[in-house]
Amino acid sequence: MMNEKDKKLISGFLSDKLSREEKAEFLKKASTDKAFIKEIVREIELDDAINEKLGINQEEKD
Amino acid sequence: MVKIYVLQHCGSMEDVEDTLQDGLYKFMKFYEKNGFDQVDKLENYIFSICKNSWLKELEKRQKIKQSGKFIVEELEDDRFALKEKYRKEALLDIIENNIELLSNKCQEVLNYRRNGLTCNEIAELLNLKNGQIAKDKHYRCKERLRELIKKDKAYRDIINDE
Repeated sequence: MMNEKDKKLISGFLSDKLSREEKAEFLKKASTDKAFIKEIVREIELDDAINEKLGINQEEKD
Repeated sequence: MVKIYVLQHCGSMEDVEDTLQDGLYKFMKFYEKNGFDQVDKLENYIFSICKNSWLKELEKRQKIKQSGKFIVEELEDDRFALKEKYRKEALLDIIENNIELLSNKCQEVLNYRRNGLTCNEIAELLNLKNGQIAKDKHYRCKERLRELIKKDKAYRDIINDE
C-alpha cells in the first residue's frame, strides 16, 4: 500500500507541480522502488483512459 | 510519453515499468555525477534515455528471436496483447459506470466538454461567472471521478490481476 507522501509525489509529478527538491526526491524514489514505478504507470494508465473517455486530448491538457 | 513509446514498439506494461525504472536509474547516476540544470528539459531528457534503453532491449530480443529459440515468446506476446485489449475495454466500462455516479452537475459539465463545447460556452449554459470557473469545475469533477474509480471494486480487481 502506497503512503500519502508517495501518493502526493506521484500526483504532483503527473500534474507537473513538483518543486525542484521534490522532483529530485521523486526521481530517486522512482529509480529504485519497483512498487512506486508500478503505481506511476497505473496512474498514467487511468489518467489516459479517463481522458479518452472524456474526450480530452493532449492539447487541452496542456 | 515513455508508456506510449514502449507500447507502440512491441512492449508490454511490464516493459514500460522496467524501461522507466531503468531510465530513471541511469538518469540518477548521471545526476549524481554531473548535476542537471536544465529542469525544463527534464522530461525530454528522461524520455530520450528510456527510448534508447528500450531500443537496445528490442534489439537484444530480436537477436534472440532470430536464433529461432523463442517462438513461444511470440505467442505469449499475442496473448498478452489480447489480454491488454480486454483490460482496456474493462477499464473504459468502469469509467463509464462511475461517470453515472457523479452529481448531475458534474455529468453535465463533463458531457458538455466531451461534446466539444468550450469552457466559456459551458459557463454560459450553467450560469457560471466565466470560463475559468467552468474549467475549474471540470477539473474537480474529473478528480472526483478518479476517486470514485479507485474505490470501485471492479477497478481494484483489474489492478490486482496484474
